[in-house]
Amino acid sequence: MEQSQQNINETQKRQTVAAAICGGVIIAAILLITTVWVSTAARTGTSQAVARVSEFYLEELAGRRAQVVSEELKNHFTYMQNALTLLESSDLESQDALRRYLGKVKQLYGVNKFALVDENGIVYTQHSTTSGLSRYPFLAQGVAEPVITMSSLYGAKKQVILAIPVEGVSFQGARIEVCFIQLNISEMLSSLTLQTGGNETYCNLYHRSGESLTDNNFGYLTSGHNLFAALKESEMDSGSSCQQLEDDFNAGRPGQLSFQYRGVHEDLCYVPVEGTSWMLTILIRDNVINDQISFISSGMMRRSVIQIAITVVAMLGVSIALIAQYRRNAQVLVAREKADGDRIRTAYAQVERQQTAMEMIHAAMGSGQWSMDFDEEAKMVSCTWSDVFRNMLGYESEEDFPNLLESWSELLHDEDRERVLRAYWAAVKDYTGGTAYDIEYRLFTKHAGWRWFHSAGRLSRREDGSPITFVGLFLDVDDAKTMAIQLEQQRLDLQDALAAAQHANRAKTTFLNNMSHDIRTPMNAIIGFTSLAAAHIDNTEQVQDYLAKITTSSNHLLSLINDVLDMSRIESGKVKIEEKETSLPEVMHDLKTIVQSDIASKQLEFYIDTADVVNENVLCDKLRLNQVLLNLLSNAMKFTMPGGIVSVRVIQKPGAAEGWAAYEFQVKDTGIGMSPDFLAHVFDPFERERTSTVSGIQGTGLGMAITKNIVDMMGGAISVASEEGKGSTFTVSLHFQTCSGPVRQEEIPQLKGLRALVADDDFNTCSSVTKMLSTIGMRSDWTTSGKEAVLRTRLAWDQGDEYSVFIIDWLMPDMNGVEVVRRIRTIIGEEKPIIILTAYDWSDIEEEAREAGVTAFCSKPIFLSELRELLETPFVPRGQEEALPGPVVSFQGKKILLAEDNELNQEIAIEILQSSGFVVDVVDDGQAAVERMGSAQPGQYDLILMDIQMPIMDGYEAARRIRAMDRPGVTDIPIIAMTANAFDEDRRTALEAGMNGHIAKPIDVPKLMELLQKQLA
Amino acid sequence: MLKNAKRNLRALALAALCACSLGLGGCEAGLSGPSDSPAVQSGPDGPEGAVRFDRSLDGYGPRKTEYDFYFTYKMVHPWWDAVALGMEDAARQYEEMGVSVNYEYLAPVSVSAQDQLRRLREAAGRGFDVIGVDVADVGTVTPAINALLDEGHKVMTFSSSDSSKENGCRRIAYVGNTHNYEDGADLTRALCEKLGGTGKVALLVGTPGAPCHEDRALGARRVIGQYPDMEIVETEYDRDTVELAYEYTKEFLARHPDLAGIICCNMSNPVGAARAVVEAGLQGQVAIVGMDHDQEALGYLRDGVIYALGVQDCYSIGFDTIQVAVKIADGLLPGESYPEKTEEITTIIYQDGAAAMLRILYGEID
Repeated sequence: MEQSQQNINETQKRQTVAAAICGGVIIAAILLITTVWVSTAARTGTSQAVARVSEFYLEELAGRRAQVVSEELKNHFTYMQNALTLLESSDLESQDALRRYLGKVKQLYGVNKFALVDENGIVYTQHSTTSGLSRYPFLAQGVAEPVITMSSLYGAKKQVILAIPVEGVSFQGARIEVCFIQLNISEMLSSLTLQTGGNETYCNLYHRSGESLTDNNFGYLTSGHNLFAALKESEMDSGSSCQQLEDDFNAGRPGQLSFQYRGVHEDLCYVPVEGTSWMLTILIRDNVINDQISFISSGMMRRSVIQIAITVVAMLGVSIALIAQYRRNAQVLVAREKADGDRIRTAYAQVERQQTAMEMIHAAMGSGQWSMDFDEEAKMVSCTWSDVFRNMLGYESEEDFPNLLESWSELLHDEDRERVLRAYWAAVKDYTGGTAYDIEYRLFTKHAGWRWFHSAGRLSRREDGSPITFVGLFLDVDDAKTMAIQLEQQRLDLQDALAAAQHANRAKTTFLNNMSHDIRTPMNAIIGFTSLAAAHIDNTEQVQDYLAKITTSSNHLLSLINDVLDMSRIESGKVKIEEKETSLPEVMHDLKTIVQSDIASKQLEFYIDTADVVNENVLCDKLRLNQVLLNLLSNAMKFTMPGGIVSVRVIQKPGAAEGWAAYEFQVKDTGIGMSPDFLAHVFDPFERERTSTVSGIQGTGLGMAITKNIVDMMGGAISVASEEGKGSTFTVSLHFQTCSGPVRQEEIPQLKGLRALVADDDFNTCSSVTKMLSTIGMRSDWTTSGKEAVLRTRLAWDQGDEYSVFIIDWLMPDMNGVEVVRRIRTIIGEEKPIIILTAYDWSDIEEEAREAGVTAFCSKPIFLSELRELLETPFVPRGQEEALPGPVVSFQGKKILLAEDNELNQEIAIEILQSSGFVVDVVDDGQAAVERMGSAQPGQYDLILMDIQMPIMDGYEAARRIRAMDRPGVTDIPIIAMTANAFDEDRRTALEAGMNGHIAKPIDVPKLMELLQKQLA
Repeated sequence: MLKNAKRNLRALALAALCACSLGLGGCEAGLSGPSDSPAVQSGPDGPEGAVRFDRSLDGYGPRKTEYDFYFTYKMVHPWWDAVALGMEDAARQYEEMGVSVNYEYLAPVSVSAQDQLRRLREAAGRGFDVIGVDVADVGTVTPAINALLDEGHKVMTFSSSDSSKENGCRRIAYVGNTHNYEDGADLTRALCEKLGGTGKVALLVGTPGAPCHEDRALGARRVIGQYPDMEIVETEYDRDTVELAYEYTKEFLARHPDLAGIICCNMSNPVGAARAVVEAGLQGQVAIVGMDHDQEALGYLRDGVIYALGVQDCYSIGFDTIQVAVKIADGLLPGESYPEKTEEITTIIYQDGAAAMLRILYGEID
């Protein structure tokens, strides 16, 4: 049976071999015949194919490359948009932070340059901050939509610039308006050009004007040559013309040309690049194709015949060898399969045992395993989360928690996500294998919320370092981690509390020492000079000198007391912020008026200006805002030596919520500055850089603490930058509700398109006023030089495009404003308005200035509304528009009832009032005052001065009772509180009790007289 | 400087020779038309050597891995954009070595010494390793530089204008053109030879107080003083603007119909002067010499409207400024590692070299 079976098999094998040999011979014959036939057909069709292939080849090449270029440009625009979405506010906090961001983005997208440009044309890149106005002409035209432009750099390196507008981003007070990248288009094209020998296929980009966009040669065309000009030197084939090329380029149409250039026949194909004004061009030389195809055709025939002969012989030999080998292999394979089967079964059993053991260990340890597999390009191909890990997160099945990286990464805590993913990818992409993945982070678990986990993993890698498998473990370390965090926090809290307590203790001790010194110093002067005055009572001149010194010391003592009390009231929560409609221009002008005399007497240089303020009326506590700015400005003046600079700037910042406006008030000086140690405590109460005994500059050390507290109460923030010997800058940031909407932004029709010239040595003022003029529709120029202003005026006049408005600073270093005006008037005549803009009091030079031709004066800082008003209304000389003062009331014979319990105060008040012509009656308490008025005849008294804290009946009650009387001519008498209760709430209470006014003790005589004048008028 | 001096001397020698030969040949006063062959050829190194774009760092090993510099210059203008490219390439080469060079390179839109003082004061408060200044006005800015040095800052000068010990300035080093006087004198001498040593000329200076402009003007005046039959009939300060140079030139031409030449001391005024001369149809009758590499000016040179231009190697100025600043930041004083004055070359280019210069600097051929 077996023998019979073996015979059948042998027969079958013989038949198989015979069939294989016959089949091989037949296939070889077919191959030979078809090859001869195909080669012959190919030879005859070559000439037609050359033309068709050229056309198809060129069209295909050009179309695809144009698409690639277009896609590349689109991708780069997308990169820029993506990069801007990555921009966070922390990246805009400092120059270093912005540079880190720019470097990161540049590296991420692999561009030559990634830059942001602010409204002043300053270009920020990873390593540089430069002026870009002359270097990048496209900035001058503004970027309102994505722009593609060329930059032909010095050195003939052509670069393509892609720019997009940016909105809502500011850096260091200036708006970021443009983002751009710089690409080397030659590098982009280098990957598209198919040059393998000396001359094959050329690819280039041209502008529609025929100008090359790259530094590459294009065939025989040298870099820099214009394509149209070059092809005019060529011999065009019939059906092609240079005019066709120019027309197609102008219209952005694709096309093809054939011509002879420098003795070589060439085909040029061009297609427009979508989204640009570029044409992509492909040049191919006919001889390349002809030679190649001819060579290939003849060679192909020879090689095919030889190849087929060799193939037939080889096939026969190989077939015989294969049959023999097949027999041997079949036996070996059977044996090997059996052995492999045994080994695999053993290995599977081993793996299963180990896996079971590992799962038990993980379950016992509370750790979850994970693994990920990667392809050769480090892209993840699979991800596996163990069930133990799923359970740790509160999930039951793969359906709930799929085997995806996102299942895990989406549960990461926001504060940890970036750090963890960075560490993860750093480990995966470090082909050296030197980066370990070992990290702690929080994950959101289904049932227990946020919990801390510790995760570590290791990677197996291929020979080139690319990752294969990433395997790791999670451990739940929440309890230990939470405990450690709590302990650390407690330690820090305790440390802070101890430091704060020690510091506060030291500060209060220092304060008491300082106060002792600072109070005793003026007290010593008051007592000493009082004694001296008494001793020299007959020497009037000497006594007056002593009294003046006593007054100075008294005022200083009063300001010390006021500061201490103010601080005490703030700390006890008695100070309230009262928001009312407030005009910021009014605040700034008042501020300037208050400090003007001190600025002049200290011989300081003073700058005050605004930037981008569009909401001028806001809801705020004007008194407190004034107090904050005045405190900062007083400090700046106090600590700046004569000749130094003090400046104030108010900037409206973008990004405020609807109905709100954000402002930044900057007070800067070039004074003595502060040490870094002191800077850390500048806003703490009782702190001073040096004691007054050392510095000679007196103060309570409460001014900055008061300022900080007020700013806090207003919901704002205050910061300071300072350097010893260089000066300080205080910045107050406040948000206010807006009242009357933004200042009108529309153009003034009468002024639209007219030119204006701004001359000011302060660049900030030039910039700010120029912007305002642009807003109202004027074309404005600016200069920081008076002489240049005259020169520009002459130039404009000669060109017939003269300036219609001039805004000139009074004090400029090279020529003062009045002289500038005088010279400008000699050029332009008397008609055009010239406005002098100044931060100083101009009353002394007003007459001279008007004679020189000044039309009007304007006080710095100038706001948009003021500029509008100034330019919209006819100019009137200063003074005519000011209200005339009211009639002056004589006090002679006027009768006053003084209610005052303190004899000394009675004496002082009587002396002051009588010396002004009043007749004074005195009562010692409120009850007596009520009785006196109860019996007084109508008109017997003109006014009551009422102390508040008096025995028997206080002043409030007395006022209420007088007002409650039913005695016409008596009950409506003006009552003024004259009291040491000097706070705002005291003033309010007095008015609520029916009084007409309030004056604080110690009495400021001019203020008292002003109040009496008002009440009796 | 030596290279520059030799180059200028050779160029001028050749210029003088050619001018003499023309004179001997009976050339009358007045200029040949634009289509004539040039009277003088560009220097032997020619346009190819005028700007060295192939610079590499000098092998010095920086001591830190990061530097922060502040540079301020006279005004926003393309001349300083060329300097900026040299700076960029030097910074890029340092980055390839693993050293970050960060810098601010800023200027006002018009020249202002006061603005420069303000910028220096602000920079002093920001902790830069080195502060570099292109001096806008020697008298105004020198005290500020000395004050910064007294406060411990490291200050250098660069690009177009220096303030040196002779001005009482104690700045550490200077990188840039150190031969402005010679440049002004060389260009003027070329003009005088061209005019056969006779005729009226006008002088466009630039910015009052700017050392580079004033020095070139001084060189021009001294040379004119050596020619008894030549006279400077007009001098104006155009503040380095094309518009003012154009206006002033129109006035010169109106007041002096026999004006034979114009000497321009900055990059903008040859352009303004050439525009006015072309507009008046006087090209070939009024010879212009000037400075620098403005593309339009080089076009006028190629077309024969401008007679000669002194092209400065702005790229190297920027490149060397960064190299010297790194060494100053490392605490090195002038000596072996760098000179107190790093001198950059100026090459005088005539009509024959204009096309090549346009190709090298702007890739322009047609």
